[in-house]
Amino acid sequence: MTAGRGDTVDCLIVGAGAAGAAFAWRLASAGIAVTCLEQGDWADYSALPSLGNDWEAARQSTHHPSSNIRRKRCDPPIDDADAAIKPLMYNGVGGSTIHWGAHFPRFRPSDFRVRTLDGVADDWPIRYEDLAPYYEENDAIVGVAGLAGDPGNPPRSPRQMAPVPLGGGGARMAAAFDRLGWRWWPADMAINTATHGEGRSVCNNCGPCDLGCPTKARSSADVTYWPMALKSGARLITGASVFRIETDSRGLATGVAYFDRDGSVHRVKASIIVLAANGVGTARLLLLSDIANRSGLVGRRLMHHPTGLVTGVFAERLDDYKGPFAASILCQEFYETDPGRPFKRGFQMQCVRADGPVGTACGGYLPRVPWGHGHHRAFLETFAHTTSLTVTTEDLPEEINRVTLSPTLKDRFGVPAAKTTYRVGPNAQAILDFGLERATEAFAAADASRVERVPLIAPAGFHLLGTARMGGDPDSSVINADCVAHDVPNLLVVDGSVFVTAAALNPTSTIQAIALRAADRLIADRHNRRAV
Amino acid sequence: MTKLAALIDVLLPGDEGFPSGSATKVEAWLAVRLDRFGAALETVLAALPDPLTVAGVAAVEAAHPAAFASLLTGVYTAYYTDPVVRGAIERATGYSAGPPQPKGYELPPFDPAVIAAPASRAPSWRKV
Ligand SMILES: Cc1cc2nc3c(=O)[nH]c(=O)nc-3n(C[C@H](O)[C@H](O)[C@H](O)COP(=O)(O)OP(=O)(O)OC[C@H]3O[C@@H](n4cnc5c(N)ncnc54)[C@H](O)[C@@H]3O)c2cc1C
Repeated sequence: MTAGRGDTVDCLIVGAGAAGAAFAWRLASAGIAVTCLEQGDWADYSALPSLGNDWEAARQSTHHPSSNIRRKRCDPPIDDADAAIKPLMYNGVGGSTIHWGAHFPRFRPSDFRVRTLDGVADDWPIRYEDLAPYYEENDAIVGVAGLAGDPGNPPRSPRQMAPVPLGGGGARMAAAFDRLGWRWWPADMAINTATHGEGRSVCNNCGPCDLGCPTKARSSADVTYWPMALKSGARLITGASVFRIETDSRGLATGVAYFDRDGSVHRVKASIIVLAANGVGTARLLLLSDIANRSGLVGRRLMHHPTGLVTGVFAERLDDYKGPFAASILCQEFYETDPGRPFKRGFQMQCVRADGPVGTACGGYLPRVPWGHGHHRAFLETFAHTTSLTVTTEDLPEEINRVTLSPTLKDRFGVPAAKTTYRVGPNAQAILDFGLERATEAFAAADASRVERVPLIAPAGFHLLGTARMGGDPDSSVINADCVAHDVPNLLVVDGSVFVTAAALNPTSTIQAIALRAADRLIADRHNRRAV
Repeated sequence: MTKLAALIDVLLPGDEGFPSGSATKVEAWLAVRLDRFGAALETVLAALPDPLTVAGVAAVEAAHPAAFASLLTGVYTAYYTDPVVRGAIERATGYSAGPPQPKGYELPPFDPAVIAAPASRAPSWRKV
């Protein structure tokens, strides 16, 4: 489908990822004409790497989560030389959920009140209770495998499906947490352990979810919200790289300009423009268009969740190459602020599974297996014998951590690329240090024969948050609580950019809940205007 | 035997039921990925002593760590995606020599008994 020059649409969304998909569905099902422009394409489910023996080679190249390494035509480069954590994403229908692990935790109520409770960063202008109904609705659409009743979190409705099985490593670490008296719970995962959603089948426990899921059991946004949105009348244009939001003399957004695959420029006029291009793409577009930045905060306060990793090697087999790689249990024992610890807020440990043969040999979770005599023995002692804990920290916002426009790097159309600048702040570093110790303690309790640490995973910029923050004051925030830009009343931002703080866990269920809420506020606003 | 094949055998000698590196697709695999590994290959091959010794290879690794690491990633990746090597892993461990899909593995049922301890704990989230 193409949009001709001079097209006019009612609501135009930029970005067909987790947030754009949810927003498009909600608006389309309310009868609003919605068009989405996406720079990438649909994923090809007939040619996913996990169907071939070279799947681990694909992970290093064609299916790497860094656009700088993947370098498809639809991947704008990112200048990340000055970033301690490298941003990761996928550009295409479904956005970064094409690569995601489908961990689906919710923020806790305290995550929205860190200034009031802990004296750091800022409170959100919305509360957990504002999002709770949207978390519920999102869960029902996406389909969550899990278990209600976690004493560590507010109550929620019964999960749609039974939890993902613990696996050898998860069972080991659960027993270790019990021994230590630490709270843990089966993770909420957006993965079908039973049939859920049209055209999606049940997980067959294959392992590399990040390479795409041939059974569609893992709920990327291209298999959940997009089919529903299209059925409801939404229009999706792929291969459309938006490079400017256009405005009129009153400061209203009038439309966007984009390059198609061949480099031809198109313009689409719209009454409402919604940015869902993720924490890097949205900031880039706002900076390119030089709008909505009275606060000077566009691009600033980038948050990633600094993540460390501890891996245990066990004498017996765990066979953790089986099963969804990012599952199955999490430990939030150290999540809330404790005045006895040298930091504010906390962290989550997530038990993740193990590599296949190539990943084991090349290293990642563990150091590379040494070459030469003894190589195969060392390989056999580690392959299928490991499990890991991630330490995911609260990442307090800092204005020096930011997205800017690269002065030198450009995309294939000659448009300035995004540049990320990021350092691990002192609070996050203190949490990491403490968290790595606790994870090591857990492996000792689990009787691991060897424990290895990765103090900070550099290629772990999975979460792109905070670069167009929400708030009540136009001088210190970019959008309001309904995701409307303070400076441009017909421009919305609904992706991870809007986060005021990052919490210490995976953000996508919160991103989608915010997008659904913003859509409802927009729909309600339109009804009210008509009624007047 | 080429210099590269000899190097591959030093890196991955055949033992423990596994073939030596040069008996697999490693050399051919690298040859069609010179865009990714060509520079590293050139650096390492140029620095290798003649005759090749383990100590000599270790010295090259110490002198050119980045190039050596890149080449080793290529060598390991090619080796461990070779069907013969995957067959050896299957024999040694039971891990399937085939790709993860479409077969996958059985999805065992979740055992609710495992949550007895954490389910009995007091609420720990802060009400605000
Ligand atoms: C390897 C990996 C694992 C992850 N695992 C988890 C997990 O387990 N749990 C979790 O909660 N999160 C996880 N995430 C993060 C999760 O994928 C993101 O939080 C989520 O996808 C963000 O949604 P979004 O809509 O903000 O952005 P995205 O999903 O990234 O979508 C943005 C879309 O906008 C498009 N776009 C950008 N700029 C333009 C432009 N100028 N013109 C047109 N289109 C544009 C992009 O192509 C992209 O498709 C993971 C991410 C990665 C990379």
